[in-house]
Amino acid sequence: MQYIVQIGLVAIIAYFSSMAGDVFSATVSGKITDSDGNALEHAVITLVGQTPELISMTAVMPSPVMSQQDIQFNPFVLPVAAGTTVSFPNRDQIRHHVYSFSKVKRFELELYGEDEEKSVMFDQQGVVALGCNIHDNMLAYIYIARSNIFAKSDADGTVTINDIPAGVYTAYVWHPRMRADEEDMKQEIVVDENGGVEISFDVVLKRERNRKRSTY
Amino acid sequence: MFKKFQTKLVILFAALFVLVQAMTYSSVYFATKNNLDDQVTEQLRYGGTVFNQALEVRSERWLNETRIFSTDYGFRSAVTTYDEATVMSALKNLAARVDANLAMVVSLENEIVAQLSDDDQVKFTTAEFSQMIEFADEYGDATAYIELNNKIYQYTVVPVLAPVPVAWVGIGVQIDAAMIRDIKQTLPVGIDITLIERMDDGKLVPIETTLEGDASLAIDEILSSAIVEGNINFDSVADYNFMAYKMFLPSSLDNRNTAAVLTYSLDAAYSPYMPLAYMLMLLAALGLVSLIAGSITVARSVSSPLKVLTRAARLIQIGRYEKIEKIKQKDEIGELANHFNQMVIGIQDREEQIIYQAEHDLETGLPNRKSLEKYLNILAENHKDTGQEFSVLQLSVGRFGDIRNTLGYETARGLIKNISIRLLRNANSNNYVARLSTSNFCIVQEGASISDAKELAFKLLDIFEEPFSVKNFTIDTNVSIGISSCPDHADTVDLLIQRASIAALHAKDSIDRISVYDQKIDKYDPDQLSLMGDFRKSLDEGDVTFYYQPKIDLNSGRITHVEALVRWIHPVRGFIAPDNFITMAEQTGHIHHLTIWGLDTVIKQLREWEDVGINLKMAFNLSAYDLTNRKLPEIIIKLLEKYHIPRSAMVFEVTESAIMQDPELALEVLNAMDQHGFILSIDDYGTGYSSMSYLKKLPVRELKIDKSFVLDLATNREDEILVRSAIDLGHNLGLKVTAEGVEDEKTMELLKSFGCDTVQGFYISKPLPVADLNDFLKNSPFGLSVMPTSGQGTISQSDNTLVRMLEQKLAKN
Repeated sequence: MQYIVQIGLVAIIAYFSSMAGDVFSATVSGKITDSDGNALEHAVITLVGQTPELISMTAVMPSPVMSQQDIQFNPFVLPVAAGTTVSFPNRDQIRHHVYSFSKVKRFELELYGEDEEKSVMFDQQGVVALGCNIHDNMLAYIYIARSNIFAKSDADGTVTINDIPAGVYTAYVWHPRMRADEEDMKQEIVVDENGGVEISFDVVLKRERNRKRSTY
Repeated sequence: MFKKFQTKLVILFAALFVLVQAMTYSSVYFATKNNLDDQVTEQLRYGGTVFNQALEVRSERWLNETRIFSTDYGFRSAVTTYDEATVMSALKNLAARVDANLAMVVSLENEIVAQLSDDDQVKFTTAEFSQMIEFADEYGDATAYIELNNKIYQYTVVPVLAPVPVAWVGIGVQIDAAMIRDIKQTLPVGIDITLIERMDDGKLVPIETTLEGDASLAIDEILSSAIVEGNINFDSVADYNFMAYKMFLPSSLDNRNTAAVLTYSLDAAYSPYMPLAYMLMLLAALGLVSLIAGSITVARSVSSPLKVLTRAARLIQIGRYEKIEKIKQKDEIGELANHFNQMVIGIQDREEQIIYQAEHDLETGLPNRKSLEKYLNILAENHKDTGQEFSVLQLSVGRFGDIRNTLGYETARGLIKNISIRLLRNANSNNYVARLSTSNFCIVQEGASISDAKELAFKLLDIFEEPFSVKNFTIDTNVSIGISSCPDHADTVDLLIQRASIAALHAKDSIDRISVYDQKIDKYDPDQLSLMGDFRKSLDEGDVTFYYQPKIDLNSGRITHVEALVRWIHPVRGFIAPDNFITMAEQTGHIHHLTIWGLDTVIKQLREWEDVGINLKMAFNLSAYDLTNRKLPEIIIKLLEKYHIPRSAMVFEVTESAIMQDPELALEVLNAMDQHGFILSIDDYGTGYSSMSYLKKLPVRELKIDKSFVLDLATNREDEILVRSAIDLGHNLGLKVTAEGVEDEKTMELLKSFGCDTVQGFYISKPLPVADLNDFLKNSPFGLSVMPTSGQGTISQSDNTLVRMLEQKLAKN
């Protein structure tokens, strides 16, 4: 029942000389696996710098998209930084009624057909579960990260974050089915100027929800 | 044990029937029961499945209703915005829709958002609800049966998904009596449902049941009986027989305290079969009764004819041949009876045939000896009562053996057959003709005197005059008839037949060939036999003695010989003629003894006389038997030697008839005697065959003329010629001649003139006992002939004798 996901995060943090204002970049890489050693996709790693300089650092983010295509949300997990506006394009020819009852951001978007696009700005850190009032099996998560440094694991369960300034960070892991609390899973990492950092996470998963039931 | 066939059969059949019925019944019973039990078991299992499905259908419905309810956008909106009033109203709506008794919404933090109940006493038990939330969080939903306040509720818990769980909503529906009654309707008939709950103290408590009446009263016992989950158990409580199937109700929770017990009343299951069982028993009883009746009928159909047959068989045993009544049965018994009757006829026929054969002569068809005896018995009995006389005629066919040997058996048989036919043809109505033996017939004449019988006998002889013609042979028969008559000759059957037979034997030698029985001709008279018994005794006691009759030599006028004549003076019967007892002695075998005794006696007598100076020669008669005894000369020689008597002192007289009994042997014996120097004399000459040829052959020295010629010699001219011829014949043959039966002087003178050598007779002396003879010898005018010492002496003595004889004569006159 409990899936332990180990997220091995190897963070290679490029070191930038802070003294001369030169920026050294390092890379943090990690591997996230479940208890069976299977790679775990859709896990989000967030690094929170412990110094004000690091916290205030902003990254240039492309405009994130949560599309509805083939009666599915895409992507399943969308990590964003707080204050980001996410667009919701409907790429199906049918209607969708996207909603969120999450405390972080409560909204509903009635999308009447193809190419209609609306956008929502997420300003508060947390998790927003997205559903479609018409199609119960549609589910997606928008993860509003606690900093600007984050990345999502791919199908290999690997996560790579480049151009990380040296410093001390707190690494958080999140997954939609993670049983434990994020705070209980956090790890502290030190990013050197001249090397990378590797990190790993063990995550216990909840049982996958039986979606079939909800298709009634 | 059971002697009567009927009883045996009935008991056997009844026992077999009962056995077969019992086996059939029990196999039907057990097969039916097993089948029923199997059916009940199947029904219970099936019922369990149906019951489960019924519950599941309901459960599914509640779950779906609740789920649909939980995904209602408005409800979700109300829940996520903590709009309690809206949530409560939505819950009420839900409860009404699914007939839920309880409904509740709980936050993810296990705080009750809203709750309602139709009963103030009943609320969700939070412990179980929490467990169900945990289960639902894991598996999507949860259901369980929970006991609350002695009622059973089904809890259903589902998450409120938005689209991830944001809260939990649950409902509780009471599984009430109405509901299980509804479910019971869908189960196979006969199954009852009881819901039970295991309480915290472990006690099983019935919550709801569809059982009614006595069974519901016994429900506690039913529960307490050992019911194992999943098994079908048979049990019985009081009069309630049932099978039970227990199953726990499906629950998402681990604690399984709520169960359903399905019961099936076996009495109800069996009840449709009870009429069949009673019908079978009734049929068995009817079958048994009809079988007993039937087997009695069958047994009677066997035993009653058997009784009839047994009785008939007993009657046959005692000789009563009665046919049994026709038995109508066409089976084996009827056949037996039929054959029995045929057997009776057969036995009767054969018995008649056997009796006929036993009573008849098969060659002639005439009654045989046995029948004759039977018939004569009747006549003898009749004679005793009425005095009616009757005669028995035995007709003997002479020379039958010769006829048979010459002409063959076939012809002889034909002759006998013809004789029987001729006899029957000429018999009167009062004649009874039977065949006695091969050549002897018997004719019984009823109510006839001896003269009547003789008349019949002559008539019968007449009819045999004509020869018989058998197979081209003409046969002359020579029959003789003997007659005995009742009561003249005998009054018993055996004796009558015997005496007729003796008479027939006698008739054979008689001139007219008919002879009436006479005791004289009956040498077989039993009196004679007893006489022979006395004879031995008389020999010992001296009742048998010798008398001696003197013989005179006519030349000398002196007594020269005596003839020894045996005399038996019976102490009771007096004088018995020698002819009688000597013949008898010959027949009974006493003759040998008598001869030896006689010889001994006379030779001893010669010795005695010799001793006193009396010199005589002894004439001794030999019987026919003696002439067949080759040892006779030897015996005589021994005796003569014993008493020192010369052989010349003995003269042996033999009759011609004695020689003729066995001429060859007699001749042999006589020759032997002659050779030994004994003088032989022919006795009774002239009465027998008087065969010249024999006379020539016989070694005799003397011829003795029979007294029948001598007695009337003086007056009968013929006798004179015969006697003179005989004397001349004897002399010519060189024999001495003696005449006996001389009773007067004239005769003696005549004989002397004829040249006869010696004479004897009453004129000289009758036979005398020894003492008398001795006196006679002293006193007789004839005197003794003196031993011839010289020729002179003899003559002078002879002269003296003549003188003395003359003197006596004169004195008499």
